Amino acid sequence: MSKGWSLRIKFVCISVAFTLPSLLQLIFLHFRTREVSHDTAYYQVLGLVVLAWLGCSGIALFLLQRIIHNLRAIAEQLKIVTHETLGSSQKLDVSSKKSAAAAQQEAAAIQESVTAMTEMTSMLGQTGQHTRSTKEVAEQSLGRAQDGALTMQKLAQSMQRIAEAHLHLREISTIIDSIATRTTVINDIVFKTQLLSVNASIEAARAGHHGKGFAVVAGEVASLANLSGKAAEEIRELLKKSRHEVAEILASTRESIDSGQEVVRDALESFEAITTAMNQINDKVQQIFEATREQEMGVQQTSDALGELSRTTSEHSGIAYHQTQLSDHLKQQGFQLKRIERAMSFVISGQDSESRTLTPWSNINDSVLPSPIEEKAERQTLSDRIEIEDPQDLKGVILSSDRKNHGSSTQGPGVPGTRKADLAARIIKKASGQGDDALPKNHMSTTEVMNNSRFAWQESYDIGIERMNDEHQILLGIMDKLEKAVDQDQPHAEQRRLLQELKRFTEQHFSSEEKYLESISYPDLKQHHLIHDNLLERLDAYTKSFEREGYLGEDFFQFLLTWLAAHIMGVDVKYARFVQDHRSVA
Amino acid sequence: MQDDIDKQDASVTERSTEDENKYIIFSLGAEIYGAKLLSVREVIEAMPTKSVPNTITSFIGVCNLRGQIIGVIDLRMRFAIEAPQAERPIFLIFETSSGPIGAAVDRIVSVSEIPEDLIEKQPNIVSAVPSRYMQGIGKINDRLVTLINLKDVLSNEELAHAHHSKIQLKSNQERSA
Repeated sequence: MSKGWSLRIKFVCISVAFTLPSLLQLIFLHFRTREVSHDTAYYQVLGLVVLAWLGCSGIALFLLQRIIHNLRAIAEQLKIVTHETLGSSQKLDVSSKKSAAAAQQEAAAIQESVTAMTEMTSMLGQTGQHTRSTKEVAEQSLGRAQDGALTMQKLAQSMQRIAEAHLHLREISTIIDSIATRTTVINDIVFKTQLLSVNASIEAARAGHHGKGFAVVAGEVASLANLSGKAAEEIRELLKKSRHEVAEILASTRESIDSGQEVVRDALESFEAITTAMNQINDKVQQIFEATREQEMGVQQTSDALGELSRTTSEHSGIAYHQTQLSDHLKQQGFQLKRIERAMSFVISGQDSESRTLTPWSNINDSVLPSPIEEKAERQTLSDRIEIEDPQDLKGVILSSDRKNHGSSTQGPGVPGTRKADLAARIIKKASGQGDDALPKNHMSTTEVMNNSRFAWQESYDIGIERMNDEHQILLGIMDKLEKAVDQDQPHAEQRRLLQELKRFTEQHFSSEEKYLESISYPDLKQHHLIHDNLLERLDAYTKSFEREGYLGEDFFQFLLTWLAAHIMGVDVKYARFVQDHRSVA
Repeated sequence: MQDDIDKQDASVTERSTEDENKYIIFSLGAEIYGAKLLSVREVIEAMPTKSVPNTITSFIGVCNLRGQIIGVIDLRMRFAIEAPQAERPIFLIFETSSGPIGAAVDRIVSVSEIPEDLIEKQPNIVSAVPSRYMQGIGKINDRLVTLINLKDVLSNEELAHAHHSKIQLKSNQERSA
């Protein structure tokens, strides 16, 4: 029970306090004037005064009773409204958090799409280049094929000339034949001359002394005949040889010409076919080329649209973050309202609507923002009545889902199930500010997690690989510190140190992640490496801009958020899935 | 005709040894042979012959040389030299005691002078030519030539048949005339 007095008693006390002096004055007046005169009228007046005072008091009491009644009703309504407002603000808080997470996921998806689009653009560019070079090659080939066809036509003409030469050669063969027949005549003459010379010799010998001169002539004739005979014989041999050779040449040229003409015909046909085919290829390549160009334009447009979308999403993400902050503030105001309501009901009814150790007047004015202890106590008292309450509620949800997991399948997903439970336990431990030593040693302190930071560890970041999770947590811790440093306007050197630390650890983490991926022979390692390079480049660019301009803007933190969402929830989850598939296969 | 030859014989005193040493060289198959130039009346291109029955195998027939009927002997057959028939054989016409007679040879090689000292009179060699017809072995430019006394070959008693046949033929011709 409360130890306060009710408003009614307070009022009576006040009335008494106010009326008592005038009553005492009346009594004093009465005893002073009694000595002067004992007028009955005086007593009557006194009686009237007392009666009037009593009447007034009664009326006042009645009115007060009514006011108190109304105030009670208002307080009751206020209580209900406060309760509802608090509930709504809690719900709003949760939903705005969800909205922020969704915005992040959206940003991640868009980031992925942008990456994919960029790849597609570069691939299309390559395709375009290949198509261009193919076109050039095809045109060159066409030119060569046409050259070849021309050459073949020339060759065909040459073949025709060779065929004509062949005919001429045949004529020569007949000429040789006729020469051969002429030489038989010569042979005949030689033969007869020989006989004639012999006969002349005989006659000369007969003539004896007188025939001496004639004998010389006969001898000369004989030698001439012999010479002619030899010459004729040689001519005959030569002719025979020539004829033979000509015949051979004729035979071989005939064959060569026939086969040559055939080959030329075939080659010409082939060249024509090649030319037609090359023309077709050219047309097709042209079509491909145009299609690729159109595709390129389409992709460019899509890319632009995605860029626009990315900007919008970024803004959306910012708005969602803002909403989260506002809803948080609203929630706190709800708590405050609740306290005010409680104080009021304490004032009205003299007792707290909840049994609670709170001095009635002290904290209303000087505790505009509740101290953490109070808020924690507030949460504990409210937890049984308010349905959605961070992080106890989270525990409930996770545990129930965990239970579901265990119920549906007892063996397979048991590991992730217990993982989840483990995670939930961790979060709760962090949230309730205990069990710090039970956690893996890292850069994060529990209070940092509690601060509703954008860079707080989320369940969705869990990719199921212990080592990578730990590294991601460290990364988040550094990001969070950096944001705080910027928010609280800490010294420039401190900001730089944190930024350098982020860069250094990111590099270390990426290389260790890549090593890990290599060890499990992850198929998309190359692409993953490219994404890492891209992120490092951008981080580098921000570092440089920080060095130049001396401050880190909201866009930097948006970049970090996008990175976390896109990289951890998008790309890293992919290899986590690969690892899980691998494990289940193994 | 016979008278002409006699006249020629009469003027033999006018002939020099140079003329006596002249030989007509002819070939039969692969071998070359020689005969005294002065023993040859003339050489003619082979002409168609008419075979005469009942004669020795080497007697290939008779031919008509400028109206004179001449019997022709194939020397290759006569000396049993086996070689293909020449393209254009030649008849050497000889005067014998029994009239002119032809010898078919493959071809005339030359008319050459072979001095006495280059003739081996009694060669101890085996030849297709029976030794009784052989005059000796002569040398022309290191080539050996079998010198034959064709008059003897052609006027052999074996030719009597032929001659006889020729006479008969002649009488037949005269009769037909």
